[in-house]
This record gives sequence, C-alpha cells and structure tokens, in this order.
Amino acid sequence: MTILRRHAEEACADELDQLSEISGPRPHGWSLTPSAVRTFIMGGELADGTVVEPKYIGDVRRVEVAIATLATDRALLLQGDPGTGKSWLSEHLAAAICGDSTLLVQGTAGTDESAFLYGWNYAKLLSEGPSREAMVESPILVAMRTGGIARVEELTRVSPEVQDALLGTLSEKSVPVPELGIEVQAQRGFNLIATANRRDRGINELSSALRRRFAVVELPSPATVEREVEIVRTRLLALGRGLALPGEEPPAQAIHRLVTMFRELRSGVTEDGSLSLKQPSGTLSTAEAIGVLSQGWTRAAYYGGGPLSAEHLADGLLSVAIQDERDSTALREYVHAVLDTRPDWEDWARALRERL
Amino acid sequence: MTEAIRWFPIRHHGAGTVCALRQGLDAYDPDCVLVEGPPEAEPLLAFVGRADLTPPVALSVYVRGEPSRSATYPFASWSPEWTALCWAANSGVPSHFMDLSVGQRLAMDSPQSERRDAGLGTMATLGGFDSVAAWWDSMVESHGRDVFAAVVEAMTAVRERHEGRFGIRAPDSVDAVREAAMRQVLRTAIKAGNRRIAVVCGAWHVPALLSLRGVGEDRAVLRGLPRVRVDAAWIPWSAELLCSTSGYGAGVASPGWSAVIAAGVADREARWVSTWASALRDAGQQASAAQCVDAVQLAQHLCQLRERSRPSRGDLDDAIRAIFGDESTAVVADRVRLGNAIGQVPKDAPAVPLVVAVRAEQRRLRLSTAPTSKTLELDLRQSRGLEKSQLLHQLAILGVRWGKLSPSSEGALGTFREAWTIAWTPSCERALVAASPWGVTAKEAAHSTLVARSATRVDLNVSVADVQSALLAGLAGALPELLDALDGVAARTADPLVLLTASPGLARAAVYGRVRGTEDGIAIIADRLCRRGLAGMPTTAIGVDTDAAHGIVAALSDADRAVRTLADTDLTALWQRTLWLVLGSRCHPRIHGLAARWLFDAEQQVDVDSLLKRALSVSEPDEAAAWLQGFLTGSGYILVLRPDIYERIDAWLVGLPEPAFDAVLPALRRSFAAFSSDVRARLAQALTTTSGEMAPRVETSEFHSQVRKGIIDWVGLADG
Repeated sequence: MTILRRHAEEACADELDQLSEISGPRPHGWSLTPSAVRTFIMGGELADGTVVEPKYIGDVRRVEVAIATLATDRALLLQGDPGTGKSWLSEHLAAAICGDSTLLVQGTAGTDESAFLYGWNYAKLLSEGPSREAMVESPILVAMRTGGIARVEELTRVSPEVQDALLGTLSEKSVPVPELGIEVQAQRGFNLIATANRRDRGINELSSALRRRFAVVELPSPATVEREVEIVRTRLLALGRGLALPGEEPPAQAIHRLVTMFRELRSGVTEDGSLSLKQPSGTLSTAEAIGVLSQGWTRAAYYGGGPLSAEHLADGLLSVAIQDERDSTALREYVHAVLDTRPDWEDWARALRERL
Repeated sequence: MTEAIRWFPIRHHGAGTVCALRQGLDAYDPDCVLVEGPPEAEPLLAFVGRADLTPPVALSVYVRGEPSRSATYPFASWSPEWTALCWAANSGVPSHFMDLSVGQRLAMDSPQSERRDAGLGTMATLGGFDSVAAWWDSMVESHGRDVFAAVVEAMTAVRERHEGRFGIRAPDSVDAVREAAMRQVLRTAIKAGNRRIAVVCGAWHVPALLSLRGVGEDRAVLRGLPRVRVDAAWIPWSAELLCSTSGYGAGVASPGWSAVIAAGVADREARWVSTWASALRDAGQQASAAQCVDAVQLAQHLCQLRERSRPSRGDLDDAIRAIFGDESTAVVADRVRLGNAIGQVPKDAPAVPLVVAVRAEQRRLRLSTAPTSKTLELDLRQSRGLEKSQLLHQLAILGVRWGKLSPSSEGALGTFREAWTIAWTPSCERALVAASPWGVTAKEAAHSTLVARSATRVDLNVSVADVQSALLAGLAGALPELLDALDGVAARTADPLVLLTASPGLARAAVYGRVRGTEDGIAIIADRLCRRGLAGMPTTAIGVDTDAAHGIVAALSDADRAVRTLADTDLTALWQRTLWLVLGSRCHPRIHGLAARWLFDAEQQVDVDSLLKRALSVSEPDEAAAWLQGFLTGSGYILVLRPDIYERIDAWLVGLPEPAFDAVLPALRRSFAAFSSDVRARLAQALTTTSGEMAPRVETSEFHSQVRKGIIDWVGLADG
C-alpha cells in the first residue's frame, strides 16, 4: 500500500459492495440503483446496519439532479468555484455508477482533439498502416465502447474548438474514424461528467451548442461556517491519513477560525453581518483553506512547535489572500477592525500583524 | 332532503380541485349554487362573468365610514370559489354567498379562529406529505370525480376527533356562529324551492352542515348579534398578493403553478416547462422544444429517485434549472412563480375603500380634484397645510401622480414652505385603484407600500429616499422598519463613495426628525454611514484618474454637507483627520486641493502658501490646474481675502507658456464660473487696477497682455 491516493472505487470498495446488493430497477449499465448512488454520496445507514460515510456535504437536491441527469441521455456539467467539491463529486459518481472513475481527461489549455476522440500510435501507424491496433482511444472512446462514465476535468480550460469536438459524442453518441472507415458507437450506460470553473483566469466559456447538451448542476460554496468546517475537517483528516502525518490532529478551534476568516474575507462581510470588509483579490475557496491547513499541519508535525496554531497558518493564509499591495491594506484593515476586537483572537492578530 | 344538496368541499385556493369541480357542476347541473363568502357582497355577483372583471380580484367588505375595518376575499382565476361563481354566471344559474354576514363578524371583533388547515394537516401528515397543499392536490388527483364524497367522509371523521379533543365547538366560537348562519342560508335556499343545490365551501365546514335540524338553536345563536353597516367593492388584486410570501395566510406558494394545475391534470409537467420556456424566450434567452422535453424527462427521473409518483413543482424546477442554467432561470424565476395575471374591475362597480377614503380626505382638506393644473402654496407650520402636504406625499408614495412639488421645494426637508402643482388626471384614479390592496386609507397604504418596498432595496440612496418620504408623508410609524432595512443595505454596501453620497440626505432627515422629535435612530445611522465612508476614504482616494477623482470630489462634498448638518464634535474631528490623511497621501491633485481648502476654511493650521507653491511647481500644468480647481471649489472669497494667494496664482498663470495656458484654461474657467457675481466683480476689478496690493506685478509680452485682457473678460463679464 504505497499508493499516495487511491481511486474512489478502491477506497470505498466495501461500501460499494454492500450497496450493490440493494435490489431495485436500475438504469442500463448501472451497478447501483439511483437511490443507492444517492446513499453512497450523501451517506446513510443501510438495512444491515452498515454505515456509509458521506462523500459530499451539501444540498441533497443538487446531488439528486446530478444522479437523475446521468440516467437520462444528457451529459452532466458540475459547475462551481474552486473547492466546492466538483471533482470529488464527479469521481465518486463515476465510481458508484459504473465502478470505474479512471476514464478521465484532464482539461488544460493544451488539450487537443485526440484527448477527446482518438489518436495514433505513430510507430505502428508507420509500420502497419492505419489499423484498429494503431489507433489510440481516448478515455471517452473507451467509456463509449464499454458503456461507462467518462469524466472531463476543467472543461472550460480547454480551447473552444477542442471543446466542440465533444458535440458529436454527446448528440450522435458515436465517433466516426474515417481513416479506418468505421465508427465507434456508444453502448447504453455511457455518459459524461464534466467539471468547470467559471471564475478563474484563463477559462473559455462553453459554446451555446455544447452548453445545450449538458444539464448543469451548480455547486455552491458552503452556506454556513459549521458546514464548511465539517467539509474542511473531513477532507483534511483524509489527506492527513494519506500523507501519514505524525503528530496530533489539528485542533477544532484552529480549523474553525481559519474557515471563519476565509469566509469573511471571501464574502466581504463579517459572520455576524455587522461590518463590511474589503475583499482581497486572492482566491479564498474551501480548497485553499484545506491547502493552508494541510500545509500548516505538515509544518507543525515535522518542524515541531506544538499543536497547529496561528503561527503555522498565518503564512499560508497571507500567501493565498495577498496578490498585490492593496490586498495587504485590506488584510491590515481586517486585523485592525475585526480580529483586534475579538477577545482571545490575539494569537491570530499578532501572527498576522508580524507578517504584514 | 339530502338528495337535493350536492357537497363540493374545497380548500381555499386549492387549484387542484378546479377541474373536478367544473366537471362535477356540469354533471350535477344544479339550479342554485351556494358559495362560502360574504353575504353583503351578493349584489356584486352581478359583475361576475363580465369581461371587465378579470381575476385576480378581491371583494373588500368594509365598515361604512371606517374603511380601515374591513375583510378581504381574494379570488384568482384558479380559485374553486371563482370557478363556481363563473360556472353559475355562465349557466344562468343563481348563485348566493353563504356565511355569517361580515357586518356581524366585524362587530364581534373576535380574532380569526385558528386555521382550519389543522384538520387537513392531520390528514396530510398521516398520508406522508409535508404540506397540506401537496396532499390535497395528490388526493384530488387520485380520487378523480368522486373526490368530493371522499372528502366529506374524511372531514367528518377528522372533525369528530378534533372537536372531541379540543372542544372547539363551543357554541359562541366564531366557527359555530358562522356555521349556524350557513345552515340558515341553506334552509332559505331549500325553502325557495330549489331542488338541486350545489354547496361550494371550505371542506372543514361541510360536516357541520350535513344536518339541518335545530333551526331554533341556530336562530338563538344568531339572534341579537351586534352588527355594523358595511359596504362592499371589487378591488383589483395581484398575483403577488395571492402569494403566501406576501403575508397572506391562505396564500399559495406559486400562483403561476396553481394556474397550471387548475388548467388540467393530464400534462401539467409539459405545460409548466413551457411556461418557463416562453418566459425565458421573452427574456431573450434560448429555450428550445428539445430542451423542454429533456427537462420533463429529467424531472421524471428525479421524482423516481425521490420516490414520488409524479413530479412536483420542486422536481420540475430543479430539472429546469439544470437544463436551462441557473443564471438564465434566476432572471425569470419570480415572473414564472407569480404568473403575470393583473386584475381588473369594472368602472361602474361601487368604488373601493381606498378611493372612498382619499376622496373624503380631499373633501375634508378642500383640495381640488379638477383635472386642470392648480398651484398650491402650503405652510407646514399650520396643521391644515401639514395635513395637505402629507396627503400629497402619501399619494406620491402610492404612485398617484396628483401633485408635483415645485423644484425649489423638492427634497427640502426642514423647510416649512412647499409649492405644489396639482391636477387630478384619470391616470391618478387608475393608480389609486391599483394601490388599493395595500390598505384602505392613504396613510395605511403608503405605510405598507414603503415597508414592503424597503425589504427589496439594494441601493443605499433609494433606501435613504424611502426614509425621507416617510418623514415627509408623516409616516413616523414606518421608520423603525425602514431604518432596519436601511441599516441592512448599508451593511452590505462596502463602497465608501456610495456611503458618503447617501449620508447628507440621511443627515438632513435626522435633523428634520430631531426638530419633530420623531426619531433619533436616523442620526445614529447617518453618523455610522459617515464614519464608515470616511474610514475608507484615504485608501480610495489614492491613485485614481481624473474621472474617478470627479466622483470622489462629489462624495467628499456630500460628506462635508453631512458632517456640517449633523454638527457632531466627534464626527467633525474625524472628518478633519480624514482630510489631513488625504492631504498627506498621493491622491489626485484636485482632491488634494479640495482637502487643503476645507482645512483652511475649518481654521486648521494648514500652510496654504507652501501647499500652493508646491502644487503650482509641478511640471504638468494640468495637474496644477486640477489642484486649483479643487482649491477654489465653492467660494472665491479666499482670493479676495488673501492677496498673497491671489498673487501667487496670478503670477503662475501669467508665467505659463501659450500651449500650457490653453490647456489649463477650461479647468480654471469652470472654477471661476462657480463664484458669485460679487466675487467675480471684485476679482475683475483687481485685475484691471494697476495700483494697490492686488495689482499685477509683471507684464511680460504681447501674448500675456492679451491673456490678461481675456481673463478680465471672462472673470468679470461672463455672468452677463
């Protein structure tokens, strides 16, 4: 067991086994019933007393829309700010529905059509001429052939022309290969989950033709601080286990305070709604909060200094929040106007002031 | 006797019943229709079926001469009561209202009895539904036409249990009295020889009407009840007011959805999705038929996953959001949810209470309601004048453009004179009728309109204007709610410019409030706005271009006015500290000059001479001119009072090379144009005088002497 991060279907193999025993009508090619998929994602207790851990903490209605979409012939687009759990949800949905979350295309500015359709093994192509063996199928093509769920991460980072290569796949459910005079047709059960991010720099909006082929599920930022703390804690502990970090678990108070500050700076209003704040331009999503905490935890674990505290986290917070001089001003104002007025937040006020 | 009566138990605004009710009435073909409703409004039933009475409308029944005591009965096109009344009107069958008379009910002055949904609530919970409406709709669907008999049976059981447990049926309870009255109406209808009577009333009451024995007891209950004289009128209603979110207890969550389910059970999913699609298309969004099909399909999958037999509105809306996108759907969501029904009432129907009340008020105050313009000078120190002004302001809040305040007194809180031009046009009448759901007197309607609007405000200046109108219209009672809303908007406003721009209006309102002894809360909020705006000012003023500087100068001028109006020592000190910070920062020269001037005017220890020297020494004459423009804002007396400043500016101006001079001229000209004519005359005189301490020192060239002549022209004579 030296693999750094296991796929969802391996990490949750026991749960998936249990859930697959639940009988009921299931869409073609699905290994679980739709309601078992919901239980797998949202957590719950099975009839035999097995407890299923929640994989996604948030609005069950949106998850239901996502699951129902995959049962129709429309593809699913998960959209939201960084850190709202899009990729996490996409991976677990694929694992639950077809038992395979690895048919994945990672979208980047350099992704080309062969990543969405097919490419060639040029050594074979030159020696044998065009043949089925010389053709390199993309994960999407494999999913079509096997009736599985394909995943595209960060679809909006891919250039618009390449994005539109998905049009045929999604509407005709087939990919012609003119070089071989054949076409690959999708088996029943095939569908596609894409994730997209609309706020980051360097993204390409979907064309309206492609947009119409997706049902969009918007994943919001967590609504309350308690819910966000819960998400951060769950993911942080999973990460800590994966990295086998020594030392104690981060104290609940440290997580709560960091998340509170992230939320306040992100929304520009204090949690009690009494003060409006200047927002720094850095991205302050839940994912960044997890990053800052895991970085701080690593520091506390390896370089000592006792349990995780403001001293370990302040650098991380500043490095994600501050992009330019104005952001420093905003943070100075925040320390002065908010943290200084909160009793027993002196550690944070001091740690941040020393670094600003 | 029972075969002469057919029961149609309904839920108020239970749109799911409408189809079954219409079919039931067609099949039964009654010779008399009794509908639960106010008996006094029966003459108004003559208007039902006319094209100019279009729902949503309401019957308003109010105490004669005291319209603020009233009962209102709203009807939507999909209300079962409305369906029954229309069926009767179209079939030529007489219809009657059946209830305790409103005059007696208002005279009893007892609180509304608990909602009868309690009984239905038990049934809904037992059936595993989370709302009575959902349970009702699904039950009506599953029972088809026999639903009414089933409901009567079910309600009989529920009421037996309910009354046994809570002893609700005390003989003097409002419900008991009402049911006695209903039985009496029923007996009258039978006595009149009707043989096929259809009774359309709240399901809760039906079990109490089944037996018509005990005439004597009913008479005894009704005898000697106090009664007030009432009048009734049709008033136009709106989809918004039918909505439960408007505070209407018996309202529905979505009037739009109710209209869809009332139109038929069979394909309501498709009809609801196409309602959305056409709203989206109207808003310029794409919505194809294929997408609609997909949305219905997705909703069906969703309802399977959620273990329901049929997609609910929630399932459909979730699917629609996924297919058409969150942003596009958010734009039209309210329109679809509410539907676009606007009610209309006949012109020849009796007038509505608000109109009656306003007319009475106009007569009492002897205000002209002629359609021709008339001017009106009001002295607000006299109670008559004040009342007139408040009525005009109240109607303005209601959107009735009867009076127009002359520009000189516009927004002049705190003055005691107002000049109005009034003309009562037909559009005033229409607007007044449209405002009638908000209340039965101008004051009450204006109050509730303002409060309802305040909750939706997002613009701080609009919220401030709300507070001002409340003060002008004499609606001090609305202030706590308006200030709460204002405070909320302010807390969400982070831009110091917006905060400062809003502050003088609020400061004036605070002072006006203080004079009237009405409210101190305004001053506190005004003070807070100023402080928050000022705190953000120094950083906002850094590194802005000329256009942005213009905005900042305007905001600072507003702050200056607000600070002077509030006249608070602490706040004034903060204001001056802010100006010092601005003066010490690298801000736009115009802002810098303005800060210097204000500090100078406030008799602060500011070294104007060296600041001026520094400002005029910059290599860009534009910047120097901008600094001067800031410094000379307001009054030019500083040039008259301080010869040293005057001379320094003069020397700088005369020393400029030709192209630079042309460049700075417009800015300077703007500054000088704002001076009073008196100041300009004195400056012009100083320029022409060759002796004295204000005399020019140098005459360098032909160009400069022409320049001087030009300056004299526009300084002294521009005012024409």
